[in-house]
Amino acid sequence: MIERLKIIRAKGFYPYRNQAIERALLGGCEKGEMILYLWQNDKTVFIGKNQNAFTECRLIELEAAGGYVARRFTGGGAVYHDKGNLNFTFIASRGDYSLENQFSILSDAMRSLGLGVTLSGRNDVLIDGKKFSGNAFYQSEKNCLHHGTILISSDRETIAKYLTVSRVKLLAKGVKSVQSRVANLSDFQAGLTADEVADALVKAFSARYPAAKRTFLEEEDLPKGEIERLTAHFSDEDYIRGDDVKYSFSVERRFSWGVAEIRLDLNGGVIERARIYSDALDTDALEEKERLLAGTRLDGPVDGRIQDIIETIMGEQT
Amino acid sequence: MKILFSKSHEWAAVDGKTAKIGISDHAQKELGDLVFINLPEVGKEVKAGDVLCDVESVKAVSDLYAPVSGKVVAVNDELEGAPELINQDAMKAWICEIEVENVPSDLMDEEGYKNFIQG
Repeated sequence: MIERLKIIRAKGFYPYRNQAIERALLGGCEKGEMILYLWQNDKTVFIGKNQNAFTECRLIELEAAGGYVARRFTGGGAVYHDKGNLNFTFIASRGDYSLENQFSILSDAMRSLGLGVTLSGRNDVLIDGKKFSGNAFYQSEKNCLHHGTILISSDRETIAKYLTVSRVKLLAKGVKSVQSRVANLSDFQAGLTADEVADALVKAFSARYPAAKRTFLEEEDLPKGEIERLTAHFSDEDYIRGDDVKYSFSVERRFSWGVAEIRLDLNGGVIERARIYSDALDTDALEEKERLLAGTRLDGPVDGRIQDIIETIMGEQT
Repeated sequence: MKILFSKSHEWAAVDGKTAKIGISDHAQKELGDLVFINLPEVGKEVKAGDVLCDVESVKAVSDLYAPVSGKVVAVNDELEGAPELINQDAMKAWICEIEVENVPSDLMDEEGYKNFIQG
């Protein structure tokens, strides 16, 4: 039974601090409470918990353009956030959590803005058959979390530019993104702003639980030390690049001396082991090249950086 | 060997000083199709009720809890590339092996667990 509603909106656009606030709210949620957290990130590719940062986005270009890559603790695929996107998070204890209610709040809010939306599967909310909201979920024994994006006036060209799925074949591990046709709500309601959508969500949230006591929280109400510690965790390079997520890639390349299949085992962005299969080179030469590849750190997307490394070590490609 | 279940839906097949750990068929159904598992690290020490590892299903990322206390001595690497093995046969797809330090008294036998999920 939900007796108390807590509402908080992040002030800044720095993704790692916003993630820290979300995580702190999750940990602090008590029975009988439902939290609605609204937040926006600037220029951020937001990848799923078990995704590979290197294959899901153009990391180097994004960071050079002042953007961020952030890894969330929920699953699913990569999405792009900018100030034209609003994120919402619902947090409640297991017994109080209700996906049905939470999705109703979202659709009630949209209806109040004159927008008719439909739920597609478990993760997507569509307008006119196109996705404007992607949703993901986390559950622990105590608390559950449901968060999602709302595209209002995101820069679609930038989305396409940074969310590039690699051509390199990913072997076995890592969750892949599924590309969808996306839409901005402002295509259907010209001039719509994130503030208006946020207000509509707060109203629909309050209306769904009319008997509950409502409190507006400020960032300052949250434990400062914990937010700092969590911000450091989410901005940690090893965490973002996948310190404990191992990946293997296989690429086939044609060189002046013949064709080779190169398999790379990656751990946290470092090539842990390389294996090269080719009948055009003798075994000693192959082993030497395998040794040279091992230990190399990848700083960029697999497509670009691996290409460079392979050329340096293996000779020019044809 | 005896199979015991926790309230958070893990099983422990206790055999002398070690126990293989997995999740129940009920848990597997509730989670839906698994797409990823982060196995615990060998050497990790856990107390019963601690987060042991996590899984990603089509529904959510979920934490799994250690049903017994002890040290992880082996993991089932086969699951890394094929977490769906848990969906196919949850009682057979063990996740890790724990050198048991303590088995909590509130674990249930199969019949007790059946009543627990029905109740």
